[in-house]
This record gives sequence, C-alpha cells and structure tokens, in this order.
Amino acid sequence: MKKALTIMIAMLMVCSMAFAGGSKEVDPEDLTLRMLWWGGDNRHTPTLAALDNYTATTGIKVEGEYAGWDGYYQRIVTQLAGGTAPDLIQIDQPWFSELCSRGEVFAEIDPEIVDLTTFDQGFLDGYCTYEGKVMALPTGVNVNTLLVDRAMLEDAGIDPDIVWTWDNLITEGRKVHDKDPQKYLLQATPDHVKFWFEILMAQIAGGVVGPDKEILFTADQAEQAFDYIQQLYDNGVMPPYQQTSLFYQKMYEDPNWINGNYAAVWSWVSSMERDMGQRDLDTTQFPVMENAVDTGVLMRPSQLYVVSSTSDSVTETLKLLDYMVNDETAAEILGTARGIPSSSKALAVLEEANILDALTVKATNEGIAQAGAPQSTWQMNSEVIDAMQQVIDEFGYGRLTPREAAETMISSLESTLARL
Amino acid sequence: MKNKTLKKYEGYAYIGIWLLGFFTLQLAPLVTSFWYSFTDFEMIGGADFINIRNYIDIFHDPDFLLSLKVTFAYVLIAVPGKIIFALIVALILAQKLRGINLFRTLYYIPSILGGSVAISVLWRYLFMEGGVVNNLLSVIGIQGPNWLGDPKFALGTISLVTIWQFGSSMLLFLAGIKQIPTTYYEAAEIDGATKLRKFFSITLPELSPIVLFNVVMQMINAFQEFTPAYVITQGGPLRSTYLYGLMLYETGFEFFHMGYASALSWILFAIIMVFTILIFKFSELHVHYGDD
Amino acid sequence: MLKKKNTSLIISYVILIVLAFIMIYPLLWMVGASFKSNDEIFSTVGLLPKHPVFGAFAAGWEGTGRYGFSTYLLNSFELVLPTVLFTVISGILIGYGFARFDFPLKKFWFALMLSTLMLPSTVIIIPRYIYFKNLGWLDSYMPFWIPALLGCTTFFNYMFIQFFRGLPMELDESAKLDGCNSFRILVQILLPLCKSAIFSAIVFQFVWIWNDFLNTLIYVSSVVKYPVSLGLRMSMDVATEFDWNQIMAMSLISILPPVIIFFAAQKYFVEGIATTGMKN
Repeated sequence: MKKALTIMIAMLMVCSMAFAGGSKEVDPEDLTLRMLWWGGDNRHTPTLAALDNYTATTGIKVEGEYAGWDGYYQRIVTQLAGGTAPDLIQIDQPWFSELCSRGEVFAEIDPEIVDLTTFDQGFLDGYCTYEGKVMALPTGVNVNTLLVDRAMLEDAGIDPDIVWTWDNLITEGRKVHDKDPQKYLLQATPDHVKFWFEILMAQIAGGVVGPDKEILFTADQAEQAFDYIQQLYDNGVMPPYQQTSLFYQKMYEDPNWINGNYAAVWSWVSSMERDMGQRDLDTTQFPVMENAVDTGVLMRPSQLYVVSSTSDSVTETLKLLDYMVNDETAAEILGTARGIPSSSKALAVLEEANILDALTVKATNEGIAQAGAPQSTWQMNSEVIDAMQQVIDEFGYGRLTPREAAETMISSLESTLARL
Repeated sequence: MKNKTLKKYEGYAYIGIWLLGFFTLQLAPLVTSFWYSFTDFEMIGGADFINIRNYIDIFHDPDFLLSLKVTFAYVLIAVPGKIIFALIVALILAQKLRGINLFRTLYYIPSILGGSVAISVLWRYLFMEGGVVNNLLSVIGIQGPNWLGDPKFALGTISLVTIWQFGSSMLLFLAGIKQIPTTYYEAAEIDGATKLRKFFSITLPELSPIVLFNVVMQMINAFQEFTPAYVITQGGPLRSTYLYGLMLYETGFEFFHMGYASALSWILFAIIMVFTILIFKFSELHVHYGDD
Repeated sequence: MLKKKNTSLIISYVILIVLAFIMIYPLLWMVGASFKSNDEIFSTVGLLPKHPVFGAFAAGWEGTGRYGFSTYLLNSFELVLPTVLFTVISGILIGYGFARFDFPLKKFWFALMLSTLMLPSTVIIIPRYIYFKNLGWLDSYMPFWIPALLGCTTFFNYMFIQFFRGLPMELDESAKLDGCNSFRILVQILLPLCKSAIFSAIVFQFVWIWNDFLNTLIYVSSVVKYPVSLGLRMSMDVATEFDWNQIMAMSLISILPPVIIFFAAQKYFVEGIATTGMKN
C-alpha cells in the first residue's frame, strides 16, 4: 500500500511539473492581445467596433473578453494571482491601489508610447499614480451629482431652483414629508448615508482618513455629523433607515424611488441614467457650509485602464491603450461608452460631433465646479468602508446615539487601520 | 491463496479512479490551502510563513464568533426544515395520483431556478415591507414584519429561500421510496398496519440510508453556504445574516487576506468534520442497510 | 371507506396545488417580467405586465457583440453533457466499490473522500486555478470534464454508495453463486434496480453544471466559449442601465433544457423496484 501511495505522489509531482508553464516567447506576427472589460450592451458594441478598427488599421489582433459586472472582480483577482490576466484590463477606480499594493501586477504607463499630456495632471496624480509611477489611465470623468424631481419640489411648496444649504435641507426639505407622509425629500439607502456622513466629515474636518492612515476628525466633529443626520431622520427629510436598508447599493431598484415617493438622491454622473429610470429629473449642487475644510464632492475616473505586467507585449498593449484613450477615430466610435472621456483629445472629438447629452454635461460641469480633494486611498479601502458602514448601520437602526456612533466610529476605524 | 489476496483488493479496481483523481487533482490544492493558512498570503505575490498567527488572531476576532453563531442558527433552521419538508413532499408525490408527473416537475423547478440571477430580485419584493407576502398576510388580518429589514427575521427569511429549494433532497427521497420492495408493504397490510405505522416501521428504516445521505450533505453545504445571504441581504441587517461562508468570501476575495481566510476555512473544516463524525456515530444505531 | 379515501384524495390535491403555486410563483413572475420594462419590474409585484413590452426574447437571443445566445446554449451542452456522463459512470463505479467490497483502508479512503467536501471552495479557488493552469487547462472545459471522469465529485460517489447499500445483499450473493463476476453483478443486477438514482444523478449534475457561474467565470475566459451561465450575465452592469426583461427572457430559455431533462427522466422515479410504489 505504501508503495502505491509513493507512486501516486510521484505521479502527482511529475504531472504538475511536466505541465508547468515555460517562459513565453511570442512572435509579433502571432501576437493577439486580450482586453477585458465589463459593461452592458452599450459598452460592448462600440468597444468591439473600436477594436475591429484597430485590427484593420494596425494588423494587431485583439481578443475582446467582455463580461457583466457579476464576479468580474473575482475573475481578475484570480487571473492576476495566476499570472494569466489579459493584457489590457478595465478596472474600477477603488480597486486600483489595493491591487497595486499586492505587488507588481500592472505595468507602468510609458509616456513615450501613451500621450499623457491630454490628461489633467491632478487627475493622474490623484487616481492613477502608485508610488510615483503612473500605472493606470482614466477612461472618463465621473462626479457626484444631486438628482432632483422639480415637480415634486414644487408640489411641496419648495422653490425648484433652491440652492441647498445644510439648514434649508431640513427647514425646506421637511415640507415634502409634511405634505404627504408617504413621501420624503431625500432617498438614502445605507450606502448613501455613508456618503452623507463622508461629505459632512469632509466639510467639517477635511475627511475621514488621511493619506498617512491617520483619522482626520475628533469625536466631537463626528458627533456633529451624526447629529445632523439624526435631524434629517427626525424631521422626515430622509425615509427611515429600516425602510431603505433592503436596497443597500441598489437604490434604483427601490419601488418607493421608482414610483416617485422620494424627490432627490445622491448619484454619480456615470450612473445617472440608471438611477433616473423613467423619471424626469434635474441635477443640482450639494450644500456646502461656510468655512468648509473641503467640499467633499467627489470627482474620480469612471473606470481605469491598466496594463498587466505579465502581458506578452507591454509595448503593443500600451499602443492599444493610447489608441483607446487618445485616438480620434476611436473616440468617435466609443462615444460615451465609458462616461465623458477624460482625455482632452477625445473630449474635443465628442464636443465637435455634438453627441454629448445636455444633462450629463450640465451635471458634470456642476460637479467639477464643486469638486473637492480626492479621498485618500485609505478612506477608499474596502475594509475601511466596511467598518464605516457597520457603525452607520448600528446608528441607523437606533442602536447607537450620535455621540456613541462618533466614538465607535473612531475606535472601529483605529482597529481596522491598525490591521492594514 | 493468491486468489484470496486478489479478492481482498478487488474493491480497488472500482475506487481506483477516485484514488487517481484525488492524488492528481484534489490533493495538491488542499495541501496548498493548508499551507496558506500558516502564511500571510494576500492573493497576489508571495506568502510568508507566520506560524499559527492567523489561528490566534481568529480567536480574537469578534466577527468570527458572530458569524459562527449566525451559521449555527442557519444550519439548525435550514437543514431540518429542508429535509423534513422534502420528505413530506416526497411521500405525497410517491402516491399514484392523476397528474402527479406534472406536480413532480413543478416542485423541482425551484431547484432549477435556484441560483438564477432573475430570482434574486424577486425575493426582495416578496419579503419587503409592502411586498407580496405581507399583502397576503394582511388579507387574513396579520401585520407582517419587515422580513428582510428586521434583524430578528432576516435569517429566518433567508432560510426559507433555502428550504424552498428542497428539490434535490426530495428527488432522492422519491428515488429511495421507489426502491422499497412493495412486498414489505403487502406483508404489513396483511398484518393490518396503519399508515403511520407503515411509515415508521417500513418507509423510514428502509429510507434511512438516504436520510443519512441528505442530512450529511445538507449539513456540509449549509455550514459553507453564502449565496442567499450574499445576494439578498449582503449579510445585513446589522450582520444578522453574516454567515461564515460570507465572512470567508469577504476576507479572501474582497479584503485579500487569503492566508487568514484559509485558516478560517480549516477551522470550519474541523467543525464540519466533528459534526459529520457525530452524525455517523449516531447513524450506526439508526440506519438500516440492505447489506447488513 | 370509499368516502374516507375521497376526502384524503381531495386533501392531497389541495395541498399539492397550493404548494405548486408557491413553487412556481417565481417562474410565473419571470414570464411576466420578460414583458415588463425595468420600472415595472421593480415597482410592482403583479404577475401580469400592465404595459407589455415585446421584443425581449428576440433582442436577448441576438445577444451582444460577436456571439448570439445560441452559441452559449451550444457551449453549455458541450460543457455539461460529457461532465454528466463522466460523473455518473465514475460515481457508479466508485459507489459500487465502497458499497459492496471490503478492502484494506476502506474506512480511511471513505473518510478522506467525504472530507474533500468539507473545505469551503473559496480558499481552494486560487490553488486549484494555478494548478489547472499548470496543466494547461485554462480556457477549456477540461476543469469540468476531467475531475468528473476521475470521480472528484464526492456527492455522487457517496450518493451511489448509499443507494447500493440500500439494496439487499442477497441479490449479489445469488448471482455470485451463479458464477457472475462482480462487474456483471453491477451491470446486470444492481444497475437496473437503481435507475431512479442514476436519473437523479443525471438531473442534479445537469442542473448544477448548467447553472454553475463561479467556476465557469474563472476557467472560461474567451467569449466564444462562454456557456449560458456566463452569457446570461454578460450584459449586466452595475453602474449603467440594462434591460432586465432580456435577462428574464434568456433565463427562461436557459432553464428549458434542465426542465426538459427532468421531465423526460422523471418517469423513472415512478417505476420502482417492483412495479408499484408505496400504497395508500
């Protein structure tokens, strides 16, 4: 029996070694690049067309690996771990620093090959740079916006052109619920409440977690924010936490929202269309307090393009990347498949062709005008977000008073940050 | 003599493919993940040996105990619920009734739909505050709770979703019932046995190998379950559906702590192992095999 | 006596029908939803569409990009059918080996086999992926076919063990006296008696592999090789709008093959060991 075992283990060893991948030497003639992205039909179709055009003009074959959102992150993480990632990958902005910190998974974007001058330097520094190297490029610009139902405001006796302040958000905002107990001004699922907490903290204290892993606020400051959110609930500005908790990260599937029981919602320009559904909505700006440290209004890339460091040909992939972000024909084919392009060259093409949606442009400009500093990578860390969300959940369910929530927030963030 | 030795090993001719499969395909990943549990492996890049640090940390992790409690509650509700329900339905479906074929297919449909993306949306609308279930309850004058939004009810509701997919257990029972020789029942009928008596003295003992199989498999699965909680409630509200499997997935694939997740997995492995052994010990007294 | 029988019959039917409705409510809802707009899907729970939208089936069938839904369907068959066949054959052999033979280390191997189910797959994914990569199996259906062929599907092995053990030993013994070897006993005596188990196994594995999303997601990267489970989700984005009714429509089409398989197989659940089942 022992003998049989030894033989089998030996077989196993041989198997795994015999098949172990050798080094890759690829003939440029046979080169096929792989590009991976997620999206819906209105992204798949133009992207494939742009890739076809690239093959037609350069002779380089590109295999489009397109997929839905479900499981996408798991797929690229597995592929990066296995060294089998596609050459050009679309990733979500919050993943960038987490993936970069795991080792050299992405190749540096060589400015000799890709024209970086068409991008806003601040954008590149804030979102695409890791340890001083540009490792990603933004596909488009994405900013926060506040969607509002003008008709509903008018109905409740609120001036639809109102400039929101933190005070009138309560004094005026409560009118919606006062008039009809079914209705509320501000839709806020748990993830939205976290956003409102973050924007308040940005204005009060400059943010939640700083670039050096430091907590930026005091318990008193956090209490101020929680107190304010409590007032939003107490005055019927936001629907009760329990009522919306089921739609965590799925605000747009909430029947109360679709059926027009809520008048306004925080949104991203890139997801605006989804959030609006068939409702007729306008966009407006966020309240900003006097002496605010920062506005807390976020502007970030819609997604990022990264080049896998295990690519068969980093140079060819970078050329493809340059085509995707800067080429005029590509820009025309791609349109707004990934939001409003962040490359000035591509943007110029779309402006000239006049294919930008008026409300999207309006919302983007409003957002850019208000945009604050980027959140630190620590604040965007998935574990930090998870820790914040948990405290906010307990607060939302009434398990913590504003003071307790503020103190728990600090202790919970401290222990989470210490682990990272 | 030689023939006898050969006889002794005849079984290996049949289980040989499994041995081959186990040693060539399954063993290496298992060993690797066991090794990972003693490292700080973070998915990408190398793994450094850190001794039993992960295991020590786990016992200081409040989430560990919390999710373990949630998981035990889930296993206790979902496993017996599903098996008893499946058995009852199988008994009904084993009857010779007109149109029974159609019913059998209809009852299996939830198990086919199971993981369908289309269905996850539906659960929220069935169980939300003004959803279908509460509308039905209000007809008979009951004010239903917020099934998925209230921490007291969420886990129970999630378990219902699992129980609803009772199809495979039911099918096995049905197959098992069909294997019971009818002569047994005929003999009992001559003795004038009641239905209930026939069930306890013939059906259940004859079915016991399948009951054991279902219990073991459902328990092993339930301890590792995370899909319904992940899709419907994301572990909320207030972590009341934060199943162990969900914590594992988050730790490994969202927070990248694969070393830690591996340690969590091996602890779960040990827990499941203990319960499986207990069930097998218990079954020795109660399971009746045709080869005894 | 007759009256009593009738009441119990009526009760049986009432229970059957009420339960059946609960069981297929989601299916009916999906049918309705494939004719609804997104807003109607999310804002109302009624089964019938108030403002029917047509074309979801055609649009969904056409698919996105380079391949239509028919490609994914064919791929699914190519993935599932060999896997099911291999699973059942290996399951029967292994189950028979454990159920009817005594051999050294039997208990140890059995425990080892069962324990492979007890480790959550989450932590096996990466080591397995890297291992299969070294075997050169990525972007093919090999990660599904070969483990099935080599009996790495413990559930089915154990299932067949239990079914074989449930059969009376006398059957084998009398055949042995007639000079049958063990393989002939399996094929000629035992297999005909566990048709229902075999068909259960076929149905289970068919449904599970057909619906398997996580593994196909990881091992199949080329769109041209996507099975239905991936094809269904490939236009679903989190940030932008997509048509749910197309997802519903294609979900319905994709459950047809498993339902047909089940319906076709189910007459074998009616036929028992000796013509009739449990009597009432």
